Amino acid sequence: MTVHPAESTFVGERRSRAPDRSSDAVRTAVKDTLAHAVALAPFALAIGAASAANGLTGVESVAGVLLLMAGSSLLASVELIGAGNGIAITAITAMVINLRFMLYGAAVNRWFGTLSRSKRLLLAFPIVDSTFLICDHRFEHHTDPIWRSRYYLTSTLVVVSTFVAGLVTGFWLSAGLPERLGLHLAAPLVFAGMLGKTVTGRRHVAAGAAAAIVVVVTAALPGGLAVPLAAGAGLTAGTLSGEHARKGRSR
Amino acid sequence: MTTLVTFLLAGVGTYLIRISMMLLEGRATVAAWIEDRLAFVGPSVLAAIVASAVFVTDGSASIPRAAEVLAVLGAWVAVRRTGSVGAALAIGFPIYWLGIAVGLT
Repeated sequence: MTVHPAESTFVGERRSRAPDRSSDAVRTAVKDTLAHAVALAPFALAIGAASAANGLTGVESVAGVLLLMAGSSLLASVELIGAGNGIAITAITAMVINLRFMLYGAAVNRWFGTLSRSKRLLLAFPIVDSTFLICDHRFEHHTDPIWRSRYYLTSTLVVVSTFVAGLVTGFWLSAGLPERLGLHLAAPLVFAGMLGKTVTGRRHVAAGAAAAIVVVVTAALPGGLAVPLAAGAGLTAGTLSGEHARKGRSR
Repeated sequence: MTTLVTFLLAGVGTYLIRISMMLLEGRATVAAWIEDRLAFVGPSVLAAIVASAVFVTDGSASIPRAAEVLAVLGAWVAVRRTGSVGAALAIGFPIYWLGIAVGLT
């Protein structure tokens, strides 16, 4: 990759030799983010439809977006709430799904290393999959922390506003649609699709298969323990299958 | 109210997850250990939720509706091929509707 000399500074450096204009940051962020935001719209529609199907109000659904800032775990929470699970099980499951955000938080720390700790802690709040991917790519070429923060916040605003609009539309549309359309399937379909994207090797297959089996076998357990147990089984199966493969190679 | 409290708790927990690596800054061995296992969280939770939605009814294992199974499989294949999660809905719902129309229950 070719890097312009003016941009070849480290992320943590205080000054860029050629600082970019703020308006450029906003314009570039909108341009980079729109396609991602539009791609998220069906997912947001599905969450809106699932929220209505599971008895949530519109206010609760939008609050879920703003409090969690995480679509997958919001959809899972909506499903679990609809299935009658309690606060603790639903919240813990959402947090397990969101464990990947640890890495995104580390990226925020790296991108804004020259800003104060309190600012970095605030900037970490809205990081999501899309903004992580967009910013991580774009920030390779832009090191000025002010430019970066404007870009990041604009990108976040575009993603969140599109998402909320999609969710509200899905919620509103689903109320007037007949049950035979099967909107209750929106969440499983989206999750099955996401599963198709995330399963990229044998260890992932082992994790998914173990989790699927355990969730069905333990379905009758009280307190909605099935999903957390299944997640634990999946993590264990994925880890163990990797160790098994390593031992096999070393023989 | 319960729903809002649930979202609030999950939101606070998720925020703590987001900032956890800032708090663990410099402890690279912890990060590597976590990173290795994080790769399995997504497939595990997604598979659990899909299996629960298709194979569990009223808290117990049940024989799934054929139209739903086909729709979920179609969604999985569609996203594998296109890379777009939107394809899950674009393909999955028509398969389900077709399945119901031909009497697959």
